[in-house]
Amino acid sequence: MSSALATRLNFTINPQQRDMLLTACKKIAPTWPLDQMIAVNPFWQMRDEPIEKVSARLSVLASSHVLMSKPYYLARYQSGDISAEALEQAALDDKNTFSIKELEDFLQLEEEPAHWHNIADLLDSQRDQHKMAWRDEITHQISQFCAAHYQQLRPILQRHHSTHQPSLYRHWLEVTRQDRGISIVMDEPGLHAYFKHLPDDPEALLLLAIDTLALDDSTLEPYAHALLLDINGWASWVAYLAWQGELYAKPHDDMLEFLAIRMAWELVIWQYLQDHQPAVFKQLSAQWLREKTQLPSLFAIHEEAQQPLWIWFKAQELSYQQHLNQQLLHTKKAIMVKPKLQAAFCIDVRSEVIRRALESQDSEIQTFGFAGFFGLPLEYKPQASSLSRPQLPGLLKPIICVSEDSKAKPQMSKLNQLARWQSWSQAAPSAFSMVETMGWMYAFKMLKKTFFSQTDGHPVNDLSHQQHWHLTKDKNELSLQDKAELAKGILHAMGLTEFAPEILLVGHGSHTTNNLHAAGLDCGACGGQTGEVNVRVLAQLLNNSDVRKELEDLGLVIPINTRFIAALHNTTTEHIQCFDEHLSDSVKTWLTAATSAAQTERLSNIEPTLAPASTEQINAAYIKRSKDWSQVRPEWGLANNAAFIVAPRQWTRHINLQGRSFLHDYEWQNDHHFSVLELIMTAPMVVTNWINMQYNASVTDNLKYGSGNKVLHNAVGGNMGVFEGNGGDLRIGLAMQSLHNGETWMHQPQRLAVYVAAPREPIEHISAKHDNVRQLIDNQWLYLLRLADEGLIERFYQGKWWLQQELKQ
Amino acid sequence: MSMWLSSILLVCIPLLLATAAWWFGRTRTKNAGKSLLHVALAMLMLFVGALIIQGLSAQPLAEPRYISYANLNMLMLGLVLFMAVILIAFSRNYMAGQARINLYWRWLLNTLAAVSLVVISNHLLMFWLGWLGISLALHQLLTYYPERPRAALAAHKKFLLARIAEASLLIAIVMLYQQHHTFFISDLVTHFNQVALDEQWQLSLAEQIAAVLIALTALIKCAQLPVHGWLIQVVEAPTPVSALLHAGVINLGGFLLILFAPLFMQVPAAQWLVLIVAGLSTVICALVMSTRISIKVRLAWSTSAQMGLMLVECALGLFELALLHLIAHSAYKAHAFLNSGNAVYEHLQRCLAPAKVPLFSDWLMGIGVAAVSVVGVLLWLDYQGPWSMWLLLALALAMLIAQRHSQSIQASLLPFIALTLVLLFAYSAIKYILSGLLPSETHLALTPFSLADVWIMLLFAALFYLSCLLRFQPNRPAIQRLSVFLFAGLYLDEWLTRLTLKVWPVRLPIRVNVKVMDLPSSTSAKEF
Repeated sequence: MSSALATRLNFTINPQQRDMLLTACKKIAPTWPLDQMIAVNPFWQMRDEPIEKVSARLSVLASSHVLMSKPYYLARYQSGDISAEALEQAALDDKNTFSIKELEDFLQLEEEPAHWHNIADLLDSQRDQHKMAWRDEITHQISQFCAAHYQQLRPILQRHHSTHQPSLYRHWLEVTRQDRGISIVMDEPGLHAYFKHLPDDPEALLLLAIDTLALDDSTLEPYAHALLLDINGWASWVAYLAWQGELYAKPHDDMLEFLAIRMAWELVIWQYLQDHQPAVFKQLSAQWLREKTQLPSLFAIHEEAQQPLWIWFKAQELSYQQHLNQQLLHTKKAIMVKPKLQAAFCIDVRSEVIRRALESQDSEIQTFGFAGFFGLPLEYKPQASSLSRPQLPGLLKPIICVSEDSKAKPQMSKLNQLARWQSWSQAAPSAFSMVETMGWMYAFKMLKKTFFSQTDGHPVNDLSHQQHWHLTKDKNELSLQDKAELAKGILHAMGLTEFAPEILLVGHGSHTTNNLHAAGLDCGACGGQTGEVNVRVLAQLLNNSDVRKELEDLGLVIPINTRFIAALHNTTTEHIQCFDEHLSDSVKTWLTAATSAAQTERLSNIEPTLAPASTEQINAAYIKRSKDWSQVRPEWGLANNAAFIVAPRQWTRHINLQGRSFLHDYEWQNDHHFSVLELIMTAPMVVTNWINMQYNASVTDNLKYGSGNKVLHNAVGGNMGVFEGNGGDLRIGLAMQSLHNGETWMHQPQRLAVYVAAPREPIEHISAKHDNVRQLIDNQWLYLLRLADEGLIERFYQGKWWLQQELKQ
Repeated sequence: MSMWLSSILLVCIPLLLATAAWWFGRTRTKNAGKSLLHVALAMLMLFVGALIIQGLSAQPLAEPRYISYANLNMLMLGLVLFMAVILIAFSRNYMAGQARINLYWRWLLNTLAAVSLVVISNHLLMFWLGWLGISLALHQLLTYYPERPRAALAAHKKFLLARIAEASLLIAIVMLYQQHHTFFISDLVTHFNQVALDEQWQLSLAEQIAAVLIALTALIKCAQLPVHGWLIQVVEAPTPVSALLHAGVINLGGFLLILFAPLFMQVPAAQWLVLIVAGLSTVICALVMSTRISIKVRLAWSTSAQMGLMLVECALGLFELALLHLIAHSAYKAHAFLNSGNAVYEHLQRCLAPAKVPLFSDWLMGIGVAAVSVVGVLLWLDYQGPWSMWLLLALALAMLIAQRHSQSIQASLLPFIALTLVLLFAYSAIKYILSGLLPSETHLALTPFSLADVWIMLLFAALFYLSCLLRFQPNRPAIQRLSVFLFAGLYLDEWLTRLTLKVWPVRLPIRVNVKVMDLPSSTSAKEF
């Protein structure tokens, strides 16, 4: 065997095969670590294909779902959430001509077409049920190894803080070759010996596998994709490292090696069975041949089988859109002459509720919607430490580094003491003594947390509550001119032309306790952090008299009595905290009233039993919830998001959008070269698509794209992600408790309806110019709808305009 | 009269819990958690009531009773009730919306009822029934998600081991009964104390075998190597179940040894069984823990190690220390599990001040300060017992001082010396208080530098040395091999799993996310 191997090693994988493997490797979307958890569209890397094709592909390769199950749509139809009108429209739009009766009957059918099977799957389908399943054990082994390989906590498995790290595949091979446990646990004696014969080079391994498993060009790419999907969680982590590598121009793409690991497993069990269980092997090779022959036809079969379900999916989306279209067309547009107070919020769907609540306090309060990082490409580097964290969307690379202005010496020694105590209390030889000396103290801690809970600070955010900031770019201080340019660009993009005496810059953050996914509830535009640093820095920038003087030279005059006030919207409790002591009384009153109104509005989803309670009681309940260390549903985050409206706020001010819509202010008349529109369609629109698809996928397939049950969550490597329970794959996406209240889904999966108030030409132009935008629109990853000044709504799709609704004069 | 009254109050506690278990287990009700918190508070009142009544009537009773009022039992009951209150309060929101929530409440309360029965029993059969009840009820909690294959496998292993432990305990009980014709623990303990004090008395062979069986029961209950695997894998159950298991159930092995201290300490075979098995478990599990990458699994390995230490303390005759360890570890580990959602913040805290590798001078300073302060305390207390535990403390304190710097922050020495002294003081003070609460059994303690003491000292030194090597010299080939070996958990559990499946196979649940396969013969079939 080894001589045959040696001859093969002389050949390398051919460029065509290599390309196919790399294509498969490019299909996995990244996942961010828990402390920077931002939403990602898990199908992002497949956006160049129509969503129906991707759905069919994932269904074939991984029996994974992009659509909800049939009973779900049936229930929605019966309850009237899917209107008959919308269903008819959806059926009409589809190229197949299904009758309503056919569609209704379809939901009663229970058949499912066959899936693709990896070698491990084939064996599992006949495996003795008293033995561990291959797929589970393979996933477990690779998962445990990857966690040890990628963690940065402490030296494990030859992984240490030196410069020479073994590459992923080689490292895995070294460790696995020494691991006898595999044979024992699988009850397959001698199995581990087969790892010794594997080639040391990942490409040689891939070649050997292609050869041994007789993979032709039509199966290689989908097979590689299926293997990656089998351990999608860790593949997503590897994709994240590659993504960061690309962003920071330090390439770190392990995906091919990662694929080699999974492929090696297939090869090992293939060879093992060949030598040890000829009868099983004979059957296996027959099945394998059949799988390979069938594969090309499976995609079309699945696509066809899913077609009626897509109509149901669209019918649900149309039910929502038709209602919203009516509202948008028939609403009275508000007129704002001279605002008393202006407040800029993040585009987040949670801002919609609080903005409406604030606006309802006074007709002269004006609010804006803008990406929550306020266009500041920051990274925050606390003075007292060497840590730095990006405060901007994951698509972008930070340019400016900010630190607090003060030298915080005493804080530094406190940070050191906390960290040292923590490592001491967890180290192997000292944990015993920690328990015997200080263990009893935890009884009081538990009592306190259970019955007298207090606010638990975030270790990094606690450092950022500072008024004065220091801005640097490439280690040089930012010049006045740079600052003014930055400020001007931001004000222009926000569309701020009038200036009220007080302008609130409201970032947002959540406040939850004992929550591994806390960052997922923070501001995604700020890289999964609260927007505090961004608004504080921006307020400092815009209030600085030197910057204002420089701005005047650039032709932008901010009235002398205008003050920018940094503030933070706590999305868990609906409080707005202003980081400025000099706040006028009327503003304070408005903010308090807005908080109460928003709290009351959200109550039906949070604690319906409190409906008759007083505002104080309700407020207390919200605060208690945010401090409760046993609360697994502190808030609903961005659940049920459904639309993104890019238009002047006056157009939507009188509509209750129910916290389901992202809102970005935009007035095309002020956007001379449509550069702002281009920015909105290439950045915030992509971010909202990521959020929307993360929620959708977590609901439709929580096993693959969601993180399962929170009560089983088990943090991996400090911040890398979670396991559900003891091990298994790294789990990405949202937990069940963030999507389901125990009785019903809190998020209805539907694609985002993006409404843009702009003329046709710039939309066509931008879509033609940017592949991302065009792919999102034409491959149906979202709906792009134009909200025309003259009172009509039309959809842009495949380069054409399709009228949706018109205001009848 | 008052004895009867307080006995009734105490007996009401398990009864109340079991009744609540039945009541709330019937259907899925809203606000069950709130009502249960009231039940828990009612139990606390019963407990306090019983304590007060018992305190008022100070005269000791001569005749044997079914309920034990010894300080040990009351401390344990207090601990169990405390955990019950915390866990019920925690589960209210944490477990809200789970599909089979009523069954969760049923088996949580039943487990608590059985544990409280065990800790107040003075009658061995009652004790044994409670012991059995614990593992049966716990089994239901461990398989709360029956669709999870690893949960099923772990629970199955635990099920078999629990039966072995119960059998060996039952045999021990029967053997003791045949010798003494009593099931009352207090009578037996009095007898063994007399044996220890009086040269003329000797333990019979049956009694010695009973002691070994009791030690074996304790080792299995405390998940010592090589039967630790289930403890690690039951992370597959909801967090509060892990907290309950690690804080309220696993430590009963220690309770058993403390209870039978006078017997256990007179049987070298039993002692050495514990010294070797638990001693090695302490070291190995602690080292394995440092190679784990997920928080709950780390905590589980750490429990195995901590329980090992507790049993070692028993075997060295340091029962007050074992009790201290039992209580403090319960509080610490329950908190650590319930608070495991905080792992990310803890990670950030470490990242803000990453550790620096200590210099040789740091080590010298650490060892110097630790040695001086520990020896000082020993001289001041005029300490006579085994030295190994103090060695462990001194090594830990040396680490605290030596590793006080972070990469960017040079820490000053004084706060760390102050902390060292506070820790030493806290340790000595609690040890002193607890030794006052336990019956004085100085005749059972070992002498310093006895063989057992030296053995344990060697183990601790090895632990310290190896963990330093793993941390600071990971490049050495031998250390790399050790690392891989530890990462694999020494394959002990794999062997045990295979053995379990050979002896008594379990059918694993049907896997989630099945793929459909077109079979040539029939139309289509679902996979298993």
